[in-house]
Amino acid sequence: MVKIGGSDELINVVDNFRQQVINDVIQYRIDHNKQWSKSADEKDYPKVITGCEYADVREAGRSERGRCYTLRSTQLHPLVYDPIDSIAPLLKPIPYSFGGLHYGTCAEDDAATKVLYSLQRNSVTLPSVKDLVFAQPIRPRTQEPVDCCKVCENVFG
Amino acid sequence: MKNMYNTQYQYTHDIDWFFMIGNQPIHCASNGGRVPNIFSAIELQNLQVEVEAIAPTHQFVLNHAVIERYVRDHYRDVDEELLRRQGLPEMFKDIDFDEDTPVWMKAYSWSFVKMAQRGFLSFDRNAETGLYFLVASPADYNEFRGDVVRMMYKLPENEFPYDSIQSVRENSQEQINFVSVIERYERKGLNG
Repeated sequence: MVKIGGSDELINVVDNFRQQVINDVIQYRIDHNKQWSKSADEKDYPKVITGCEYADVREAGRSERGRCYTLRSTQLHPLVYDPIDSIAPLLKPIPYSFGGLHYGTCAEDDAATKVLYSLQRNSVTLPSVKDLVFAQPIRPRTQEPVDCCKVCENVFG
Repeated sequence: MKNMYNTQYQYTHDIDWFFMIGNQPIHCASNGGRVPNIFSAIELQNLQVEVEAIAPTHQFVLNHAVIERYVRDHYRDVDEELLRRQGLPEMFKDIDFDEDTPVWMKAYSWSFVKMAQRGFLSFDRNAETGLYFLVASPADYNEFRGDVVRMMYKLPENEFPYDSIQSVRENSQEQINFVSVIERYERKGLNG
């Protein structure tokens, strides 16, 4: 099982991120002429957001497209990418989209990657991804809790 | 073929999309589902911008029975106090909910209410069934000025596989596969 919980600070990080995500989308729609260069991901609500915590490092992440096209172009931290890469091809069916694979796109992957890179920058010994603690994933539009997917259960659980 | 977002984008985003059935404007929140290929991504963004500019002047009706039926369980383990503390997004605190509307229902429905206030029947997608259900609607739905939104895709009312969109509104427990309805109509057009 993915470790769901975390500190009050982590819950605040996720809530601030949720507000930011909603404001970004609405502000883009109100003021789009000045914000045309925003990335597509900021023009719609993500399906899911969550937070990740290890030691004193806390980051929020969002479900995103195109995180995991190929090993060379992935933006995921290798500690996150490698287990996903080994598990995902076993899942049937594998849905393709313009040559990309539908894994590595979860909010957990994004949040964990940010935490791991942050620890790396601070020269902290990197933990196993199974030791990372996540906030309850939610749908930001509604704050509804969302279950972790099977790939995340395998990678982080 | 319109240049819509790729499926990966659609599966990872909760996209607002719009169309009309006859003269009735419909808003759908995709909740990670597929969006029909009836507009390009740019056209959809422009549509979202146009809809955002419509003044939210309508009174709204929340579809309490359906929200209780399809959504209540999702909030069973949610700390009400935490929801209350986090509250609604700052810019939507002005929505005039009934006093007895529970906090979880406000947190769930604010974005659908905003669409109903703009004159749309506002639907959410049930992630388990993939079908859409009505969350909020304008109390005075006949007054919508369709010309405010120029680029909205229009599905003829006689192509809608129900008596009318009003019957869906009245029989509001119905779940509808809008994507399939639209795609069936599109295929019919292609086949002449």
